Amino acid sequence: MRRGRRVLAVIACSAALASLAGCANSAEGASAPDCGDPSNHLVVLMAQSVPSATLIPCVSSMPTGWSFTDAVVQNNVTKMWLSSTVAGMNSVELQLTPSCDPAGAPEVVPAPDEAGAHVYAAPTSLDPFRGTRFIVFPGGCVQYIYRFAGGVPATLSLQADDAFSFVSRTRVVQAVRDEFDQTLCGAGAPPCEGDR
Amino acid sequence: MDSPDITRVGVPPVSHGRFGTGRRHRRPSGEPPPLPHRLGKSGRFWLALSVYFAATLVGVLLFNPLSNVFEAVDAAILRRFVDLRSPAVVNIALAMNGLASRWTIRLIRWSVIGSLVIFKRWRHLFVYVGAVMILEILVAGLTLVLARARPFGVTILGPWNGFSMPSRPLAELSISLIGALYALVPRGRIRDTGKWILGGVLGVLIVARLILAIETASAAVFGTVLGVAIGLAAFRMFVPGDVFPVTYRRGKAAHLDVGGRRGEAIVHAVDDQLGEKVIEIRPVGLEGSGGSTPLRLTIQEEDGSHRYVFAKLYAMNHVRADKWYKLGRQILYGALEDETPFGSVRRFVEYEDYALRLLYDAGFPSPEPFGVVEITPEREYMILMEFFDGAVEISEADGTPQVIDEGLLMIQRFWHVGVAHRDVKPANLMVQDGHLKLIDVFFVQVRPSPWRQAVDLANMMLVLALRSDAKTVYEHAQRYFTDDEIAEAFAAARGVASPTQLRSMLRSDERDLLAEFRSLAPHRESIRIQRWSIRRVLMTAWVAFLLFIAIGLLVSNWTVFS
Repeated sequence: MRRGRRVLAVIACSAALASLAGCANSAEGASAPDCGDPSNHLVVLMAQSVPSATLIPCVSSMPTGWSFTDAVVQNNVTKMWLSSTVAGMNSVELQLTPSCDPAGAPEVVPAPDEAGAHVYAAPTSLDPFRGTRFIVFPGGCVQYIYRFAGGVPATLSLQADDAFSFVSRTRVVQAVRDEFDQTLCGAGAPPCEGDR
Repeated sequence: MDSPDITRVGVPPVSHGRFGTGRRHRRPSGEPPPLPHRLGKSGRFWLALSVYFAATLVGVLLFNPLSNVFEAVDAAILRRFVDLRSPAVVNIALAMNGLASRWTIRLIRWSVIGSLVIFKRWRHLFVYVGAVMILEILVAGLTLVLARARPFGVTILGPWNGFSMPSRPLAELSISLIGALYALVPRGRIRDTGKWILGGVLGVLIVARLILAIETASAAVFGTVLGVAIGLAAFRMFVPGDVFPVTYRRGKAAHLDVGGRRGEAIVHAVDDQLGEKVIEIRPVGLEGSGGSTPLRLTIQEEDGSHRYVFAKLYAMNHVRADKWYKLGRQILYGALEDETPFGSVRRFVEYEDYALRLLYDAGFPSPEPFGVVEITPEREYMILMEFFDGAVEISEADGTPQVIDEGLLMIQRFWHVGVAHRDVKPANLMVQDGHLKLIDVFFVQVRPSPWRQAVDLANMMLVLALRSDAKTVYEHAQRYFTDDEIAEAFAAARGVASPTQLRSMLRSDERDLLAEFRSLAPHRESIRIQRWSIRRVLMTAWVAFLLFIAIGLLVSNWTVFS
């Protein structure tokens, strides 16, 4: 009996190690930043990543066939990836930066959740579909970079666009105030200590 | 065939009966053993810090109100450091923070790995790489579970990546440095100085990162503690300095350092437990012994004269080595014999004591057993026995007819008594005053398989032939064994059957002694030594699975080195 338990424990530990090994290679491995929860730890970290950004990207609802793959959050840049069973692994990359250069891409009509922002879209190839959508707003810029597998229609990018949305920074600042009784520095918050 | 006298082998053992007759001291309850097991000051310090952080984490994770208190305290500490900011201070802090950059850490890690490869210190290398991997996985898991943001309320001035607690760069740097210290720097003053320097560097780096507000004090200290604690634990557990000292001299791995505290403990233990006064401890025969630390103790007699006693020191690493050895054998050959490993050092040493007494009582020319002394309860024991003064290894002695006969008679008597030595090799056969002596009886087995009995004979004949020739040894063997028995011996002597030392000496000998013996003996088909069972299949599959996991971990986490 004791021996059996020991064997089980070893199997469990090995399985745990194996599962950890998968995420250890990822920079973050966190779950998707939920738009419905402005105090979501990943949303807060992304807000810290680009303190000037007045909008923070998040995931509102995941369309069928799509999944959140990973996120890398560091000072001045946040990256997130979505994968699709059709378009391929990491077929959509989201980048949040303080600014960006649409490089002559034509401006298009913003989606309802992008109200107030300037949106530019520039497909560079239709098959395989390649392109970038720039969403420029005060203090920040979000780019959706599409890298679809060959033969996948470009219209699938609309599904990916639906997955992403924004939460306003002021809501995140308030959530940090409510949950931690602390000030989230950056746009929409009082000046922070230690500015050079 | 003549019926030889198998009741005597060589010179019959005569008890010296003089050992352990002095006054003994019973250790009363509460009195420490000769060598108490100590964690050490630094070990206690890091353990206490680790426990503190573990308790804090559990508290913060389970009780939400506690996390706010924790954040508030952390924020207050951080502000003190942020208040120190000035353009010059920030520039210095940024420069210092370069120590925790990925490039610095890579450079340190690859330098250590390169040095360990150059010096062929494989065990240290595996422990170093393993500890780094474990730390990376643990830190990645912890940062995700804790999901702690960067500091609030202050402007962050340095580069950062991901959640903040525990601090990944500090954990990575500290394990890389502590690993370098334990893997490359010999124990002693240099390493002690290195520890202070390491502490200073990490301390300054923590302060720099707090000034830059890259993370809070708790995240920084937690990362550092984790890195140091995992590094220390890995090196102390898997490559303890006593057993695997970092030296730049060549030597066998399994031998314990018998100087310093351990040397004093041996003297006290022999005095208290056997009533004998040890005046010198000298390692002997290290080349032929990988499983224990063989020693020659000089004992001072009451009349002022000296005598030698042979001793073997056993510790946990010997038990572990025995387990790995048996596991390897089972995978490679199946359950050829009893492959049950020993559960503790005590049982290990008790078995050797039993084997010594068994052979000595049966009249074999093996050392007279003098008993066992406890050095550290359940961790270290020393077995004492007669020292064959003036004896030389058989490979350095003449292969006289007397020695050949005594060797063959010894095997015949093994068969008669119903035991096998199982480690017949030159290092375990000594010649003293022209007579053969048998040492290292740890592998002795009672009621061995016929295969093992045959192997003992073949190995003995090969050892004897190394110092003479196959034909002479064969002719002598015919006096004690039938041709069929000799044929069986050489049909059984394959692969694992012969000890490594014997195999390597046979390889370096110009003659093909094995083939010569086989040509002299009647033809007999080789005896299969592969034993298949469900247990062997499952065990092999399990080990293969673990290896797969280990390789997977290495590959998937390779980025920590690249």
